[in-house]
Amino acid sequence: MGPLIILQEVWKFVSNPATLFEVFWATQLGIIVGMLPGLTATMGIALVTGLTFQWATSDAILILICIYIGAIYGGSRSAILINVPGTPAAAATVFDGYPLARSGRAGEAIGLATTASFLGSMIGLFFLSFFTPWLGTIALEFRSFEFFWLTVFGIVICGNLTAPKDPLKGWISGVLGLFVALIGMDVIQAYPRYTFGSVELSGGLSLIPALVGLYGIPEVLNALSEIQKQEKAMQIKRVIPRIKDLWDNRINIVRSGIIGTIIGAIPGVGENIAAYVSYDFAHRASKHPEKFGHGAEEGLIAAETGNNACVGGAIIPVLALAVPGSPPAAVLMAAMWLHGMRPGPLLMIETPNYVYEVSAMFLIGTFAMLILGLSWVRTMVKILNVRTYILMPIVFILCAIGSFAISARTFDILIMLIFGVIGYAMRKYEFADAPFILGIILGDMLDENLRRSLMLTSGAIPPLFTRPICIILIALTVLTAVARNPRFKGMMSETRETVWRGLGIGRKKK
Amino acid sequence: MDRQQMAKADFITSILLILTSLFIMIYTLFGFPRFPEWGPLYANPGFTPFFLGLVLFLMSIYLLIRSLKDQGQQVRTTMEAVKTFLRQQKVVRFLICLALFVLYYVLLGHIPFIVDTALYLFLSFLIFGRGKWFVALLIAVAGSLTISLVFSRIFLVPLP
Repeated sequence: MGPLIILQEVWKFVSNPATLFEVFWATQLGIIVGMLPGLTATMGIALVTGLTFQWATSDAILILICIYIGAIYGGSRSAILINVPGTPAAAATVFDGYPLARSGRAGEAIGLATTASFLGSMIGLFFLSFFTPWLGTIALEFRSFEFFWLTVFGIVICGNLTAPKDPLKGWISGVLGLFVALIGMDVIQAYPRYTFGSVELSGGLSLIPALVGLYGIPEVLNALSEIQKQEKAMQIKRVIPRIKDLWDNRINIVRSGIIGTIIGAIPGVGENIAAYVSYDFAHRASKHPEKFGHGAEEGLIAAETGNNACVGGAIIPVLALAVPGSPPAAVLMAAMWLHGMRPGPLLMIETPNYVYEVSAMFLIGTFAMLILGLSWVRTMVKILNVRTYILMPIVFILCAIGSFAISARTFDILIMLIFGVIGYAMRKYEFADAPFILGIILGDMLDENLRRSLMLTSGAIPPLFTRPICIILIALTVLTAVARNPRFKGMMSETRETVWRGLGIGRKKK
Repeated sequence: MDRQQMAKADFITSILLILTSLFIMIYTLFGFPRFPEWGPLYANPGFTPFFLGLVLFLMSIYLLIRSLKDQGQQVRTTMEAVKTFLRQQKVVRFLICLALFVLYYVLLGHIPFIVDTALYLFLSFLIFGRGKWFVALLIAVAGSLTISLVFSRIFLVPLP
């Protein structure tokens, strides 16, 4: 039934010229946002959420999904042409994309990146369409106890993976985010917490202004306070990739797509890590690892497949569990809430076809990305020559309008500014922003479920630790928390060696 | 930022975080009402914030101890060092940028949106772009008008 519903939904979108126009302009806007260093996918989605607030729900979500896909792909353009990743997701694309461009194959690199992104998105879409309903069915078994542990696990794993150098700071960031989410009326007794009499705060901190501030303002501050030399974009020749190049990389593409999707489904982790991990796996599996970093097509394809596959993966937990898989997916989820949607386990009961509707949106966005990615490349690349000092003040104005648009309150612009400064300080002192965002999104869920579960059991703690799914989530949380501990790593390594020896399997010496 | 500098930054951050977490816990304990009809402690609205404050406190203590191991407490500053820091071009530009944000926010609602936006853009182009003032003014006015028209007429977005 699933594929049929998707096709039906696609036809509904494609047969309406106005919707088709929306798909193309939104994807193009996403590509431009992704291309321009300093404008990220999260920021683009957050901005447009405010601007499309008055629009019909399905149009607004369609536009946001197209921007998401476009922006994650768009980052590869500047990575290849000027050696600066347009978005963090394209950071791994720089390693081989730019050397390819320097060797006179810029057009070819863009073509490969576009096709790899397309294929990555399709793999992500496959899992999104067929895995989400299954996960949704499991999620229906979740009660308050499980949701509490799910939020804890989300924060711990997100802090661990997005702050690999210092997970402690990632966790602190996540806890701060959880706390920020509790400002305003509490969900059970409607008591205004930490509002200090402010009427504006009693409804809670507005999510979109906070997200726009966290992602937009630090970029503006960074770009305008640092004097950077702006690179000129390279010349482009042939863009359409060769089928042979793609066929030779078929295993690489499938592997990177699956890795990207899995990483996407992990709460809050995001496209940049998906790209790095896919790149790393491709490097290890390559017959020519020495070429990596010097213009290896395999590396470019792995990074681009991985980051775009992550988009589909990141939407899976949004729909099934109401837990975002990446920062842009967090904003997308906030947009769904704003438009009255209720992503999460009940979605499968209330609107079971919504997963397929989102999949259809994703599918046309992916095709729009492929078409736009392979056409009028030379013209679009000229945008990279726009001066930072012109672009960034305009971005600030857009951030202000986007924050104001949701509730028409000037107070929200103040929230944006405050969160902007907080975001800037967090980056400067290496506190990852992804766990903070995840915390803001999941704070209410944690509070409500923790207190509700204790109320249900009249304060008895054991059910929190003894239910089967709780045990799995607790084990995963503990494993994640100790995974980077040197003693634990040593212990695991010893155990592995013992098992290998026991099985009589020799290990290759490095 | 090198390890030593980061340790110093962590030292200051951890103290700020400890104070924040203490404030959260104390305020939650004494400033929040109890709702006995809903149940004991765990039913109160302050339960989760207190719990989070405690977790934050413990993690901040750990951050503090770690920064102390790396000699993070050796934070010394003189007036001269502060002056040198404030004279750095990057810091000056950062502060100007921030001041322009605040100016834009303060003027919103007091002068028309188009004028406020044009003024902000003009000052930003002029200060950060080093171009000719009349070119900056032209782009700022054109930019402000375009933004206003596009968002109010096409996106139907309410403008400040």
